[in-house]
Amino acid sequence: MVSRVFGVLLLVGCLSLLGACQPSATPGQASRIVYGLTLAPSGIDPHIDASAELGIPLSSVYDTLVRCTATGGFEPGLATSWEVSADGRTYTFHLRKGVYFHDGARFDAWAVKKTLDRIVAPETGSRKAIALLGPYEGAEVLDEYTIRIRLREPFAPLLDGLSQVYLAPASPAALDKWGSEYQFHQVGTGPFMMKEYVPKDHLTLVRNPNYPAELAQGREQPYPGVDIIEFRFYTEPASRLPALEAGDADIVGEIPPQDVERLKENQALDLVRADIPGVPLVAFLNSTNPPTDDLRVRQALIWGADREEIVRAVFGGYSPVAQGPLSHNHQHYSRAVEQFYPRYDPARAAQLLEQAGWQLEKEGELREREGVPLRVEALVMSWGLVPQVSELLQAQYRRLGIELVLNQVTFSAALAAMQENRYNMVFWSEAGADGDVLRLFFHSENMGLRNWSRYSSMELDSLLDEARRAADPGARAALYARVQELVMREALVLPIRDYVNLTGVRRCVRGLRFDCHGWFPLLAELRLAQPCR
Amino acid sequence: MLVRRLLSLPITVFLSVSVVFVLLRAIPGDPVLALVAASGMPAREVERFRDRYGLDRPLPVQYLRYWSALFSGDLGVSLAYGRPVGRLIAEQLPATARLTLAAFAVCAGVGLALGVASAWWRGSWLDLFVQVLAGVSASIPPFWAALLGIYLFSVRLQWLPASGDGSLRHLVLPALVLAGASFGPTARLARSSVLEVVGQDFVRGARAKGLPGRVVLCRHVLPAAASPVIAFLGLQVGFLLSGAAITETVFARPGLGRLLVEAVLAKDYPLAQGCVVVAAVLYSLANSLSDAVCALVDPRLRDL
Repeated sequence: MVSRVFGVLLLVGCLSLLGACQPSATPGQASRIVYGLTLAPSGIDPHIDASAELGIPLSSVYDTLVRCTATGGFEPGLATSWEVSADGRTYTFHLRKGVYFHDGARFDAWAVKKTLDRIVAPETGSRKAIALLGPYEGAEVLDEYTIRIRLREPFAPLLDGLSQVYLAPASPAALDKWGSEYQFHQVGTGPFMMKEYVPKDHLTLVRNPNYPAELAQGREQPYPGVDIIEFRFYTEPASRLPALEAGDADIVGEIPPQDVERLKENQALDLVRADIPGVPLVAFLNSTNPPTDDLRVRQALIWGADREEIVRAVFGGYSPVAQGPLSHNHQHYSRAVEQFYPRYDPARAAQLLEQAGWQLEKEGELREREGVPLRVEALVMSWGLVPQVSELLQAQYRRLGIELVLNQVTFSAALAAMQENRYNMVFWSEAGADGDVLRLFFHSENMGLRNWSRYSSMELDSLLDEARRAADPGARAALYARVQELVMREALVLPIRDYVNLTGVRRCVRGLRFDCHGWFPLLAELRLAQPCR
Repeated sequence: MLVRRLLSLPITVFLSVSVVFVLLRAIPGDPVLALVAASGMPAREVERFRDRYGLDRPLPVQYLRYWSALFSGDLGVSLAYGRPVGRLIAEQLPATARLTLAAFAVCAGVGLALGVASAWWRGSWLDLFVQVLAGVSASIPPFWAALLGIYLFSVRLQWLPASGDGSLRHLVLPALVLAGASFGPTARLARSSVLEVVGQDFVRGARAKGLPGRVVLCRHVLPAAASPVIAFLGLQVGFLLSGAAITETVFARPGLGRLLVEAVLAKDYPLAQGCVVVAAVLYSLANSLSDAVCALVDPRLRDL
C-alpha cells in the first residue's frame, strides 16, 4: 500500500520535472515585450485607484484631454483647444473628431462627461482622480464635441490632472457594461488596448491598429511600434536584475542601486534613468514635538546630515542631492532654496545645538540639556531604501552627540504615531509635476494626515491657496518659490535625494522614454532593435 | 476518526479567525487612515471610509457581524482592493495550490524515497549523502535558496525561467525551493521511523521466514513506519502554505501567500481574515486526509 503511495508521489514528481523539458510556446510573428512592474497594485481602475504603477501600462490604453510637455506646458490631446474663463472657474474643451474607443464607440463630449460623473459619484469610491479634480462642480455638454467643466473656485492644477490617466475618458458603454469589474475590461482610445489582466500575474496590452494618425503625428512610425506588451510584477527588488539577465523580462523598473554596477557590466543591458518630479525623498521634521520643536535643532539636523555621503553610499550616486521640498527637475523648483544649507557643515550644526542649550559634556557621549539626553525619534518604513538612509544618518548624528532612535514601522503604524504626535522625523517622497503637491504636506488642512512637519501658519496656507488659484504660470512659480523658501527657512524638511527611477532595459528594446510625470512611459514609442526571444 | 477530525474543522476556523481578528486590531495603526494618506484624498474622507466598511462600530459588533456574514458565505470587501474578498482569494488560490501541490509532491516523493533508502542501507554512502543533504536543506533560508536557484538555473544556465507563472517550467524552481526546507525533515523522519521498525521482532521474523528484502520492506516495514511520516506530511501542508509567501514574492508569482502578507501589512482586516479562514480550512482538510491515509495504511489505527 505504502509503496503504491510512494509510486504515485514519485510519478507526480517525475512528471513535473519532465514538464520542464518541454519547449515553451513558440513565439509567433507578433513583436512582444515583457515589462516588469515593481508593485502589484491592489486595483488598476484609473478612476478609482491611486497607485502610480497602474499608470505605467494604462497611460497608453487611454488618451488624455491634454498632454503635458517637458517644459511644464500643455499641448492638445483628445482636446484640440481649450479656453479658461476670466474668473478661472470654467474650462471649455473642444474635442477632436474622428476618434474611436477600442470597442468601436465614438469619442465625444458625452464620453468625457460620463467619465467625470463616474469619478465624482460617491459610490465609485475614487481615491485619487477625485482629488485631481479639486473643487470640481460639474460638467456640461455644449455640443457633441464641446464640453465645459465648472469649478467652485479657480484651480490651476486642473490641466495637470487632466493630462494624467486618472482622469482619462473611458468608453461609456464599457463603464455601463462592467460596473465594478471595469478594471478588468478597460476601454480607452489610446495606442494600446487592454487584452487581459490577471491580478498579481500579468497584464497584457495589444496594439490598437486603428490609432488615429493625427494623434501619432511627429512620432516615429509605425505607432505603436510593437504588437504586444506583457506586464509582470517584480515586487521583490532582488528579483529584478535576474529577471532581465535571464531574459524573462525586457524592461524592469526600480533596479536597486546596489545592482546597477552588475547591470552596467552586462553587454546585453542598458540603464535608463528617469528623474521623478515631485517632493524628493525628505525627512519631515516635526515642529511641535521636542527636541525638534526648536528651530535651531531642526537646522542642526540639516547641517549635520552628510547628504552627499548618503546619496553616494545608498543610491550609488544615481540621484541628485535634494535641496528643498521640490526636486531639481520640477517646473516649480526655486534655486533660492540652495542658499540655505549648501553643504555638510557639522561645526555649524554643533554650534546651533549649543545655542539651543544642548551641551556636549564629553566627546563620544550624547548631548544633554537639563539632564535630558538629545534623542530624535524617527519613524522608518521599509520602502525606498529608507532603512539604509536612516542607519547612515544615525551614524552621522551620533558623531554630533545626537541619538537618532530608529522605529521600524508599517505605514499604518507610522500614521498612528503621527496622529499621536510621537515622533520627530519621518521619511517620505511624493511624485507630482505641479507645485500643488506641496499642499499635501504643508497646508494646515492636512494636519494630522500628511502635514508631517505639523507646521501651520496663515502665511504658508495663503501662499498655497493663492498658488492654486492663480492663472498666470509666472505668478504661480513665484508663489511656490516663496513656499519653498519658507519651508527651508523653518527647516521643516531634511531634503535627501531627488527620486530617480532606474530602469533596466535589454538592448533588444529601444526607445524607452517617460512623460513629464516621470513614472509613465510612452509605450507606443518602444521598438524592437532585434527579436528579444 | 475522519469524522471526528472533520468535526474539529469549525473549531479550528473559529479559533484562528478570532485570534487574527484580535491580533490585527492590537497592532498599532489605522488602515483607513493609511488608505486615505497614501492616496490623494482629503482628510474628511476618513470618516466616509470608516462608515462604508462599518469600522466605526464597536469591536464586538464588528466581530458578530463578521461571523453572521461568514455563515452566509460572505467574506466581506477588502479595504485596499475595494473588491469582495471571496473573489480575490478565488483568483489567487489556484496558483498557490499548484505551487504547494508541486512542492508537496517533491517533498513527499523524494524525501520519503531517500529517507527510506538511507534507512534500509544504513551506514552506506547513500545514507551519508542523504543525511548531509537533509541537513543542508533544513538550514538554507528559502529566500536565499530562491535567489541562488535563479542565478544558477536561470541567469547562468538559462534552463528555467526566473519568474512568472504559466507553464510547468515556471513551476520547477519555485516548487524545488519551497520543497527544499521541508524535504530535509521529511527524509530524516522517514529514516528514523524505518530504523525503529527494522529492529523489531516481527521484521526479524519476516526475514527469518526467508522473505526477500523487497517484500519485507513493502509488506512489513513501511506500513508500520508510515503513520508518523504521513501525519508529519499533513502538517507540512501548513508549512508549505506559509512558505509560499516568500517563494511567490521572489519568483514574482501570483498567490495567496503574497495576498495574506500584503493584507497583514496594510491591516486589511477583511482580506487577512478571509485568507486565514481559507488557510485554516485547507490545513484542517490536509490533516484529516493524512489521518485517513494513516488509517488506511496502518490497521492498528483504524479503531482509534
